[in-house]
Amino acid sequence: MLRPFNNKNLCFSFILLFACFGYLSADPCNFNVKLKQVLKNQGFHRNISYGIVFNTDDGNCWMYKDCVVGLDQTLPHGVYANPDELSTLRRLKKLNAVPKTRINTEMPAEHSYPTTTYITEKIKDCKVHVWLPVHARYHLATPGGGMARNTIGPPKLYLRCPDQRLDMCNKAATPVTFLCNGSSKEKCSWKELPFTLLTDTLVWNIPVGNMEHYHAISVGTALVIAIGSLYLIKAIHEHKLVTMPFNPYSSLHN
Amino acid sequence: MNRYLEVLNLPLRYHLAAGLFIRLFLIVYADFHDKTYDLPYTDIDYSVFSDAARHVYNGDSPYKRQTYRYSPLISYLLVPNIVLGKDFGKILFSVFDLFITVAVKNLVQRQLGPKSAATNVPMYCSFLWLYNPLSIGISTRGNADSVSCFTIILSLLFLQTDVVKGLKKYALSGLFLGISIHLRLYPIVFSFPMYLSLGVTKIPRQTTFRQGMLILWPNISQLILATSCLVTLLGLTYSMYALYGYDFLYETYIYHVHRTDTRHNFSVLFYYSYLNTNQGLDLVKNVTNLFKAVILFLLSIKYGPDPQTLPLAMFCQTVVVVAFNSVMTSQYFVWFLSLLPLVAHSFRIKSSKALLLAIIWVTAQGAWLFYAYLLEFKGREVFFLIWLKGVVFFCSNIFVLVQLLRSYTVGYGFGFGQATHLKTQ
Repeated sequence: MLRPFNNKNLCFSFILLFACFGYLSADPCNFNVKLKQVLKNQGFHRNISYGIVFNTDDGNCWMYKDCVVGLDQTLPHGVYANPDELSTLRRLKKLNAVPKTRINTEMPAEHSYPTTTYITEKIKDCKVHVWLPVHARYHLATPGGGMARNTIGPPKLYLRCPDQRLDMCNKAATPVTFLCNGSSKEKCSWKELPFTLLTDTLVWNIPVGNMEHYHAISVGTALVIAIGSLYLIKAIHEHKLVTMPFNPYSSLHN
Repeated sequence: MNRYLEVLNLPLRYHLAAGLFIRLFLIVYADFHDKTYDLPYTDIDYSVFSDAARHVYNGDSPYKRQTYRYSPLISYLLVPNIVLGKDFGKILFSVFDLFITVAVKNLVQRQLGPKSAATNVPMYCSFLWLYNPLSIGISTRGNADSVSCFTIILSLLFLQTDVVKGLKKYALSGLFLGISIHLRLYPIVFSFPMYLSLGVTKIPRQTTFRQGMLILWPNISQLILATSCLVTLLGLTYSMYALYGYDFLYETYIYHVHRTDTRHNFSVLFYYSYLNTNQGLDLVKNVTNLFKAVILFLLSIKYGPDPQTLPLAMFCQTVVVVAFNSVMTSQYFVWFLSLLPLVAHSFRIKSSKALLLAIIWVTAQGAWLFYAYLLEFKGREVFFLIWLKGVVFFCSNIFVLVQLLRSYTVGYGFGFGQATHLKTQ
């Protein structure tokens, strides 16, 4: 004899069926990634903030469980990320970023080259938020002075997951190999992802000196130093040294 | 008021404890501040020292850390930063502040003679370092300058007191002068007046070149001082060169000789250096160096020979080295502030005028800092205004120095030559 149909079991079976169907039908290659890139603060020391969102429409966040995002950010010659600062941030586990190229932090912009920095971060709830501290270099003075324009393009975006789930995606593309993270020299295979950039290209204007001031500043500086020096030499020359024996008992004796 | 004087006149050990407490408090606060605010309390150099110490600890060269431009000795001193805790270095620099305080007290006691023991003048002088906001700030922010300042004071202490008797004291004085030159280069300017202080007590204006050469001929104490200084300096330099090669020579010495930092700093030469990048001939800087050399020489021969005015020569020389330098940052101020307590008691100056001079110096600095803030943290194009403030600051340095020089009276002792100021026992 058949047992009466249990409603609870029916519901559970349907949920299971839909979940399996969802799992099988979810296209792991349809990443639908959106990226916001914002330059924060003002002046010579700023932060680039990155907000990345995966598949916000269908909410299949389980797909990205334990996956890691890698950002490959190229900075123009007028901007740099300080490798020692990044090293400190890595040690303090505040940020996993490592420079790809050697960076000289003291060179003016015109004597420097564009540099690249890798940033890695785990995906949590379909989202990633990372930041990169960046600094502006001094630019050579120009006639008229004003501001020098530095344009920071969007980063390249990579994804790495612990299992084989990305292997089916974009088979034509060669996986890119670079550091798994900033803490070891081990290299991993990454898959480059297309994304929609929700913000404009970053523009950072840096004040530059005015070459039209050159002669006035040269003469002015030389004059100030010469007058100051002569004033000091005169004071040394004219100074008559006075000696007063130190005697705290003097008024008692007088 | 009486209560205030009672506290002021407490024995030095209480003040040392208070000075250490202030510093420890600020070191703890620095941790909170650095985690909370964008503009950190801790100086960038402290992370440079710590990173260099980490390299040394791992068996590498400290010069693997970019912008490490100090003697490897500093990185050795800071190895416990890696082993014990990140604040070790700051605590160590603060302890050096206390050593300086004690050394200053002993030196001033010797300058004013045995009668000074009846007053607290030597202790008040040491307060100018112990409670100086700049010295407190520099050490707790993690700058290592208190180490070189201490070796300079120690060199002078051995030279001018009988802490160690006989010819040994000149050897010790030379040893510490050699270490200080190895650490910071600029104390090399002190070697000439210190040398002169052990010879004739005055060089008359009519002295001919030949007589001058005869004056320079060394006596035994001068010979010991110079030899000890040279042997120490060359020994340390050679040892470090043997360990780290050209990296050490370049980063520690050569870089500082031809340094042209075009980024904004207090120097009157900053904007000129910036505009002059890639211009080739550097006429203004050459003229500046010529004036600087002449003034340093004049200070040496005028105030060097008399041991009573030797600290004045060294103080003025340091102000000149800093004011005329093509790069000037606030940490350089402690170079002369560490020598200020040795001469401050001899400035015969009204308190209102002393206050006015202090206001002039601090205000000129503050004005520069305001425009530097606008440039660095707000991105405003204010280079010309920064140059103007640099000029004002240079003028204020020279003006204040001349006023202090004119008021210098050997043995004045803050005017405490009155029985009413006798220390209450």
